[in-house]
Amino acid sequence: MIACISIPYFAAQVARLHTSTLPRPLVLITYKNDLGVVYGADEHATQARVLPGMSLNKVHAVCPDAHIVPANPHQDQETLNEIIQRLTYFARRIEVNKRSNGQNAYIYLDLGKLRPSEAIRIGKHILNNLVSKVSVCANLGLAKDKFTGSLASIYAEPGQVNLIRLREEQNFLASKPVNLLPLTKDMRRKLPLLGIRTIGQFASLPRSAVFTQFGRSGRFAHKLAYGEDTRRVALYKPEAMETATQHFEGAINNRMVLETILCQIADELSQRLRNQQQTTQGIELTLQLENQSQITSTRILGNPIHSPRRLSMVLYRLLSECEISVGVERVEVRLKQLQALIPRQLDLFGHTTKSADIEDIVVNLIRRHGECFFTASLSEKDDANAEHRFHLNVIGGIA
Amino acid sequence: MDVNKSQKLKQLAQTLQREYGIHGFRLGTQLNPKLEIIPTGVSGLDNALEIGGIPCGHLTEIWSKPTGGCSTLTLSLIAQAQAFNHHTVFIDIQDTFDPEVAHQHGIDLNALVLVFPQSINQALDITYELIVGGQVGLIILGFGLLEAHFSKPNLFQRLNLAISRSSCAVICHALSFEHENVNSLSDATALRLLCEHTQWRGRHGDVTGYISTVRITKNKFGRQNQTVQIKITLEHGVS
Repeated sequence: MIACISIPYFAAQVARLHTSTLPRPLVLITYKNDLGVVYGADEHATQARVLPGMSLNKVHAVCPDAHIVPANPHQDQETLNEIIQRLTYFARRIEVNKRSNGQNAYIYLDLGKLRPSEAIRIGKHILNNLVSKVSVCANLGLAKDKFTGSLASIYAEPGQVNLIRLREEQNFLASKPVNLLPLTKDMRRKLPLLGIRTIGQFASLPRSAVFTQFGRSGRFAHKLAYGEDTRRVALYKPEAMETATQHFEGAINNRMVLETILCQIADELSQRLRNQQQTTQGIELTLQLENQSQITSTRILGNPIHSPRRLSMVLYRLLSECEISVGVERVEVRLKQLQALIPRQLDLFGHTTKSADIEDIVVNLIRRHGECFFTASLSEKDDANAEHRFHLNVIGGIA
Repeated sequence: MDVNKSQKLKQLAQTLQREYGIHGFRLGTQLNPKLEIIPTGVSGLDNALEIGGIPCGHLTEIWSKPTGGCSTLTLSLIAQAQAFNHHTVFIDIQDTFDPEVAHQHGIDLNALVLVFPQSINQALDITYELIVGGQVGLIILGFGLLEAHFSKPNLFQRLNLAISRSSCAVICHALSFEHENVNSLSDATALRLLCEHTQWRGRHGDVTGYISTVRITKNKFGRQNQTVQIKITLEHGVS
């Protein structure tokens, strides 16, 4: 049994969690090429036909009294992670749908084999848990496959569980609009021209004809329309990351002080990475300013790093990219894409290890040429004299 | 080719090999077409060399003016050879090897044999015996500062034959103030690289490294007269 949790107006709900006094209708915007576009909207704005991706001018036209605030995708992601963390109590296979955005979030759970009554009970328990612990209102759909489950959650009453019983999938899907299927641009244009408006009409077409007309994506959509979704819910793997945060009692205005703090954070994080034998490839710097706004700067590196020097250099660069106009109250550094420190390469080249030791190699030569073969070892003491910083050990002779 | 003719050729080869040894006479099909290489650690240079690195079983010369990046490139090669599990030997004729710098470049000092010979002749003797021993993957002959017209092909005569029959990469690393007209140390050199300091790199007034231009003046396996710029950081080596 697969459960699909749909969280409608996700970004708006998360924004209200953090600032409960936000007025309605609420529109959250993000910036693309310096132009504001809708990231998410609440139910009132959605009823007024404000859609994700819409430009600000259009928002003003369709919903003049909308309250517009900047979106915080980072905060949304954190909330989503928290929800997933809570759901791990119910299932091991948890997957966030790729269609999730600021407007709606979809999460699949594989609950395993369950009787319908048990599934409904667990579904209600999940929803209650989300409301009580994360304060997020969600719907839940239960079905044998992912696609039917997701539609069941969309058509569920708010805060209710919608169960589609076995062998009832086709009846349930038949009356739903065909646009709910994952269609290509070409299919979206052609299907209404062919008079196909519901999933049932699409499912009644011969699969070979759909394949001839629309190719593999058409055949896949036809399978979904037929209730034959064989996709499995992926196993949940939490993303490994390291975070270091520094709060200040008074806001900091001095850049030198900020750089010193970043250097200390880099030292701390580097030590943590070293203890875990890991390196990082993604570094994110978040500054919380005096005026309660946040600046986030991210860099994905070509090669993974772990040394404090390299980390602090990247952090300085990220700091220089931030346009700081007022004092900084909090600094947070997050290391993502953690990898093993020493990548182990398989023996791709069929190279055989030579068994002879170094001493075996030169033992005959020592007899002939005398003691002119050495190995070097570095001294632990950091001597000012360069010649005292290492020792030469005679091979096969007195050290 | 006719079957009879090919059989006759094989028989002739066997007869001659019995008389002159297996290396004296070989059919084309008996040559090993697979060329082993050791990467230099600089992807740009590996690409320019067209074979992906320094060839094993061949002699390579690396020349430069002082601070031209020759030693750093050599250290990078040693580190790469160690990564490929080759035994490495550094024959230091003029006592220029610095273990501390080598360690900074990622060389495992415990796995590197340092040889301090008393003369060039002794160095070449040791090199010959190491090659014949067949257990060393990379030998660096560090000549230090040489005159541009230093050329003793007869010294290398015995070495060339041994190198060609082995799977050992031999690198002659020499410094010279007269960069343009350096003589080849040996006629059998497969690869000759000239390193030249191009510009210093710095940050906040401190020198952090420099850029060096490597010119491939001889390459038996690819195009010649190609130039590659390599960045040398004083703390971390080449890139």
